[in-house]
Amino acid sequence: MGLTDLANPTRFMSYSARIIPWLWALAVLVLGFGLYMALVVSPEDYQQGATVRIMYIHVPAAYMGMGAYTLIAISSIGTLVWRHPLADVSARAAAPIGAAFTFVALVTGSLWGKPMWGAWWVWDARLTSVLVLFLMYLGLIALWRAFDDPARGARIVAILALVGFVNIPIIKYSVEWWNTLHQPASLMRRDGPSMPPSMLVPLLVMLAGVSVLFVAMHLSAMRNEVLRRRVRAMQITAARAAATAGA
Amino acid sequence: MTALKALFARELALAVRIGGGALMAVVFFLIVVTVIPFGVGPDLNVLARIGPAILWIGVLLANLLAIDRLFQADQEDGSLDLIVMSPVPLEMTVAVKALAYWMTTGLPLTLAAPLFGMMLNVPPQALGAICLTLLAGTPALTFIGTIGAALTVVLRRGGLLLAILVVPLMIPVLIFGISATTAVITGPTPFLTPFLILVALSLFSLVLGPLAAAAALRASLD
Amino acid sequence: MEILSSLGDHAGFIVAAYLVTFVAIGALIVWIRIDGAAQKRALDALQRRGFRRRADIGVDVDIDADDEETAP
Repeated sequence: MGLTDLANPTRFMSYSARIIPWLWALAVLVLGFGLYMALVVSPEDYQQGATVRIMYIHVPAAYMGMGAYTLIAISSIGTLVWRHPLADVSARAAAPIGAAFTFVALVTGSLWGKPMWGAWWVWDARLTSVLVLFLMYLGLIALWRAFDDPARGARIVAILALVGFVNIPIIKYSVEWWNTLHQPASLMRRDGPSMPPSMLVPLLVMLAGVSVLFVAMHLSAMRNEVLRRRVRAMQITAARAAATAGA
Repeated sequence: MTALKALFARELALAVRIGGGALMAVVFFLIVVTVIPFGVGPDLNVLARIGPAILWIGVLLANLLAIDRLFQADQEDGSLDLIVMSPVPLEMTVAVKALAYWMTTGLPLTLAAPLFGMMLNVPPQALGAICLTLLAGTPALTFIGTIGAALTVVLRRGGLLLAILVVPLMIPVLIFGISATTAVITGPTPFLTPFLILVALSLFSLVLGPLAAAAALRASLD
Repeated sequence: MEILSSLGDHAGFIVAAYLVTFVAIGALIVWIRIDGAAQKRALDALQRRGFRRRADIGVDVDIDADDEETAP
């Protein structure tokens, strides 16, 4: 079987049904191990103490927020170039998940910042970029919701997603420029230039676990979206049939 | 070429005539500038410090005010279908429409900004910088807004959605516009560095805006 | 509980961060499951009423014609 077979919605449904249970199990396993390492095994930071343990969820969440947007952008190319229905399904399913991870990154960033900086929110370059990313997710979801016919909105939202994706590096660079302009580098950096292996390994395990979790969630949400569209199509047929029978 | 010229003339005429919104944006800008001191207090030192930011944010908001009508009016009376079907490349048409919008909105805002800046006690040398940065930056705001206008063209209540979609994309323009302006007042960075980046952002949006907006219009009218 | 005491002065922040993460992601997972079950129920109900799928996923895009299925 090739990728083109998977791209067929019916076959996608049967393959995904088979692998999703395994993905959930793998995610629980890896995340369980990662959490054990992050909370129990990994050492405290000499500067931040135990607060550094927030990093093991903050960094994977931020990474997943970015990763999900990248996936949406790739799917959008699929929608625009090949007009493939599954590409739109993929983008649409990824948006709320990406938004949730970005939200988690914001909240954990804030909870991390409070003991370190003494404020719930600091306009630090990275946190601010994540906030802008979150706003872009909200925009995408709002635009999707504005179209009652999913097929109509697909290409329009895909264009927005790509425009946003092109702008992300520019926004990131600008926010960093703005940040260095306004805040002298007196604040403690939240990550050193190099991380000891005792911290890096738990972080990598968490990153792997969150990635598997994301794939499981994404595939499940895609299945829901495919089903939703089938239901919608059948309801329209049913309504048409009822209308002709009545007339 | 003549078609584009005719379109440009039509857009300008529509904006200037009764019912057009050419000066509305400037009035809105004045209202924003008037409201801010009520919030932060009339302290002239404070106003001088945040003046450039108020002016830039005011221009950003005022520029968004009418941009949702850029394609919607044409869509309602059917002329958008003709524009899309015409042999002139849609990207060019979009660019001309955006340019006309900038002439009737961005340019008046830019010219009004130094005047309003005096009301906010912005130092004289910064007034010139404001004018210059807005002249370089407002095209970017307009062309990014054009993308939002095209994305929401078929939606009944697109105005608010448009703002949500495009304002995050305008953040870099805002950052470099205000940096260049404050560089003149306080330093420490030279004026030219952020200003050149601002110009680059404008040029980039000059390309991205029409491309994306034309694609969105084609997708909307399918 | 020894984990809690080992978290030091900022235990509250660390616990809150993990809690928010579990609640947010957990709620999304639960919602995905509920949504999936609801769509399946709706599909089954429609199929019981004797409606068949016309196109594959109801999108107006050409899909390979070989996967035309009938409802059981």
